[in-house]
Amino acid sequence: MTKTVKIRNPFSVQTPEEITAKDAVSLFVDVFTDFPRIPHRGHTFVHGPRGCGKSMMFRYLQPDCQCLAHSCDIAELPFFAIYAPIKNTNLSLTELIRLKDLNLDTMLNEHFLTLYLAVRAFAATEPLEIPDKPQDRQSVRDFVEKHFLVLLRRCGSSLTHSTTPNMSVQQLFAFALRLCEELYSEVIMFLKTFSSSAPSAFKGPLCGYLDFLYPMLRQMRKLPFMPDGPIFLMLDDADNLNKTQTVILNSWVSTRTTSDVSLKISTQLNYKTYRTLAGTTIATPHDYSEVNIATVYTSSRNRYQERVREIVRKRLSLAGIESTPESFFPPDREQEEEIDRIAETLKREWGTRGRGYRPSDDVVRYARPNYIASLKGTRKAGSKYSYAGFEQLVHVSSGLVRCFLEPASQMFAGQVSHNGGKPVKSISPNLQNDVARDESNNLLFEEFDKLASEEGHENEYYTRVKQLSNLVRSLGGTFHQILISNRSERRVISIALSEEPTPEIAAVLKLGVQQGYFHASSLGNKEGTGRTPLYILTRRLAPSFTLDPFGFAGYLFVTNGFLRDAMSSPDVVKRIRETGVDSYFDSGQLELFK
Amino acid sequence: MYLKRILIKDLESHLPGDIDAFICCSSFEARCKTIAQNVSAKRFRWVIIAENENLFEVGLRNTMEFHSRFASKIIIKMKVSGHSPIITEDAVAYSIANALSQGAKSFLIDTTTFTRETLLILLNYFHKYIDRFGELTFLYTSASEYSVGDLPERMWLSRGIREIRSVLGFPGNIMPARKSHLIILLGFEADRAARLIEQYEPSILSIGYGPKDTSITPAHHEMNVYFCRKLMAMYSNVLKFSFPPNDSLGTKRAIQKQINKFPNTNVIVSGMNTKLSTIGTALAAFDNSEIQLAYAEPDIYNFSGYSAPGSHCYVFDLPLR
Repeated sequence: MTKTVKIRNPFSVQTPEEITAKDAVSLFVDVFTDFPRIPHRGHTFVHGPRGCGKSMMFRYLQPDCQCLAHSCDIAELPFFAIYAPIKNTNLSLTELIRLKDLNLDTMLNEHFLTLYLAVRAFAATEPLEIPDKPQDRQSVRDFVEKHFLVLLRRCGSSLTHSTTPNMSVQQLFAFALRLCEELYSEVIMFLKTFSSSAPSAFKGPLCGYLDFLYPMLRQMRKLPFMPDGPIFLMLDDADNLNKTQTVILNSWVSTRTTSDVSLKISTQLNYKTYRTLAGTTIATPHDYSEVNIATVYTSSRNRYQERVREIVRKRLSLAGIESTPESFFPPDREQEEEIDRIAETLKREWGTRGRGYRPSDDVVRYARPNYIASLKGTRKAGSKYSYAGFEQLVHVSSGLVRCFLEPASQMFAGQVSHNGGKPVKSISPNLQNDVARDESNNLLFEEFDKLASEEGHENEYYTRVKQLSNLVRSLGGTFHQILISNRSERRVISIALSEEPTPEIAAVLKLGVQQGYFHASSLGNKEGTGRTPLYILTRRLAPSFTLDPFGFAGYLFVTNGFLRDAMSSPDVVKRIRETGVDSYFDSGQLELFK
Repeated sequence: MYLKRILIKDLESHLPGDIDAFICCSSFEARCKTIAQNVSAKRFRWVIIAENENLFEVGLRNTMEFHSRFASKIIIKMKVSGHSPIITEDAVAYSIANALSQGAKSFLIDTTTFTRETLLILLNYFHKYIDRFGELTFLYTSASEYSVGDLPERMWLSRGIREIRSVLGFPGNIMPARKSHLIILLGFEADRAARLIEQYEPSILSIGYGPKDTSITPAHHEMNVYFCRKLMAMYSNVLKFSFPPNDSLGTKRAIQKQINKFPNTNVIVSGMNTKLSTIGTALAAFDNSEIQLAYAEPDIYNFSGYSAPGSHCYVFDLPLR
C-alpha cells in the first residue's frame, strides 16, 4: 500500500480574510514603503485591479497581525484597523432599489451602512487578546452603557437591553455587536415587506456617521487597551456599494474626522461617484489622498520585481523549499545563452554599427528583439520564444501579484504531477512557458469569446467588446511587427493619442482599462502644451503576440484614423507586415519615454 | 407534493379539471411554446403572457404566436425585465392581481422559459399571497438538448455577467460578522459560477451536481459532471454534494442538509441548474428566511441554440401554504 503525501502548493491563493494572523504575517511582504499614505492618519483611496494585493494589505493592518508582526500589545500599535469587506451579499440588497427617489433612501442606506460598520468594529475585537482585568471591564461597561447605548437611544432606539455585572470584556463587546446585528436585521425585514406603491414608514432608529458611528468609535478609541492613534475603517472593494451608499461614504470622507477615524477605501477602479450628499465632489489632496497600485508598479518595474521576489522567497521558505526564486523558476538555458551571444556581438560591433550612446544601450534594446526576430521563419520544434524564468514571469504578470501567483500555483501543481512523488525543487522551463502562454491566450481569446462571439446584436456594449478585441489584436500584432523590425526603438507596448479621441474610441479604450487590457497613464504632448493620454497594453498578453516583456521603452503616437482601422479589424497588422513598419508609420512616430 | 413526468402529448389527461388562468412566458427558446401548443385553450378564461422587455426578434415572433393562439381569451401582459427586478416584481404583482380581481382563482403555470430570477419573484408572489389562490399547477418542459450541436467543451448557454445581485424578495439575513457559505447548484455554466464565487469570496463553498438517476437525461448528467470537474479544478477546498435536478422538494432537502453542516453562517444559494431545482432553492428559502438567493444576470444568451424541446414535461404542485 502506498502512502500518499499531500504536497502543499506554496503559491495557492487564499482570500486574505480567511488567512490566520500567523500566516498573514509570514506571507506578507511590506509594501508600505511603496504606499506610505496607507498606514498613516488620513482618508485614503486605494485603487487597483483585482489581484494587486489590496485585501492582503488590509489584512496585514488588522490588529491581530500588527501585534504579531511587531510583538506588541494593542495599546502600543500606531492605529487600530477595522476591516469591512463590501460584498454584493451584504449592503447592496436589491430591495434597496425600491427606496430610490424617496426621502427614506439616504437615511436608511446610511443607517444600514453605519450598522454594518459598527458590527464590524465590534467583531474586530473578537480575535484579540484584550486584557480582562476589573478596570478593563469597568471601562468597557462604561463605554457600552454611557456611550454606545446612549447614542443608540438618541438615534431613536427603544431597545431596553442592558449589560449584566459579570460580563467579561469580550462579552460586553459581543453584547454591543448583537444589538447592532438586531438593528441591522430589522432593516432587512423592513425592506422585505416594503412596497413602493404603498410606502410604509420605517419605525426603527436611524443611525448616521456623525450622530452614531463617529462618536462611538471616538469613545472606543479612549478605552485603556486601545492605541493612541486613529481608528482605521477599511472598506474593501467599495465599488460594490450602491450609488446612494457611495455618496454617503463620500460625505463621510468630506467630514475630515481623520484624527480619530481615518477611512481607508479600496476600489477595483469602478468606484461609482465622488459626489457627496451636498452635491459637491470630494477632491484630493483636500479631502483624501489617493494611491493607485497599478500605476506605481507599472511605472516602477524594479520595485514590483523586488516585491514579488520577496513574496516568492517567503512562500518557498514556508513550504520548506530551499531555492531562490531565480533557481526555482529557471529560464530556458539554451535561449538565454543564444541571447548572450547576440549581446556580445552587439557590444563588439557597437564601435562600427552601434546605434545607442553606449554598448550596453544596444544590448538592452536589441539583444532579445534580435533573438525573437531570428526565430521568424524557423520551422524546427522548439523555435518559439520561451517565457520561462523568474524575472520574465514577473514582467509578464504586469504589476498584479495574483497574476504571478495563480500561474505559479498551476505550474507547481503540474510539476508535482510530473515528478511522481519526488519533491519539487524547480519548475521546468517548458512547463513555465506552457502555463504563461495558456494564461495569455486565455486572456486574449476566451475572455473575449465569452462576451463577443454572438453576432447580429444591435447592442452597443457588444459592439464595443468586439472593437476592443480587434484593437487589442491589432496593437499586439503591430507591436510584434515593430519588435522584429529594424527600427531604432523596437520595444513598444504603449500608444499615445496624437489627437482628442472620438467618443467611440474613448469608450473602447475605457472598456479596455476596465477589463484590464490597458493601463491608462499620460505623457507630455508633442507641442509641450499639456499632457496626452497614454495606454499601455498589459504585459500579460506578451506571450500571445511574442513580445519582449522585459522592458517597453517606446510608445507609438497614433491618430483616430489608425485606431478606427484597428478597432474595425485586426487586418491592419497584415498591412503593416506587407508594407513594412517604416513605410506604414510616419518616421518620428516612435519616440522614447522621456 | 405531486410531481409527475409525462409525455407532452398526454398533458391534457394529467391536468386538473378547473383552471381559470394560464401563465406562460414568451422567450427566444422554442420550448416556450410547447405547453401552449399542447394544452386546450378551452380550459381557461385568462392568459397571462410574460414578455421580456429585452426580447430580440425571435422572442417577439413567439409573443405574436402566443397572442394569436389565445386570441379568444382575456390576455393580460406581464411586462418583465431581464435587467430590472423591480420592474419584474411590479409586473408580476400587477398582472396576477388583475386576473385575481376579475375572479381567477386556479392557475396553470408553465415555468419552462422564465428567467430564474423572474421565476423566483413569481413564486415569492404566490407564497406571499397564497390565501388568495385556489389550486396552482406548475409545468416544466424538459429539453432534449442544450447548446444544440456543440461539444461539451464548446457548450454555452449564456456568456458574461452583467450584474450579480440578490433576488428581490429573498434578501436572507446576512449578518456582517458571520462567515459566508455559498451554495451553487451547478448546471452547464462553470464560468458563470466562477464569477459568482469571485464576487462573493465565500469562506465555505458547496457545489451541487445532479446524479445520473435524477438528471433530466443521462446526457445532461454527463455534461453536468464535466462542468463540475472544471469548476472543482479552479478552486481548492470545494465541498461537493448531490441534489436531484428533476425534483424541487428533493433539491430543497439537499440544500437544507448542506446548510446544516455549517451552522451560524450566512447562506447564499444560487440555482444554476434546472428550473425544478431553482424552485427547490425558493422552497428552501421559504422555510429558512436566513437564506439569500443570488442571481447572476448574463450578458447574452445563446439565442440561436440554447435548447431543443424534449418530448416530456413535468406536472407538479408546490407546498406554498
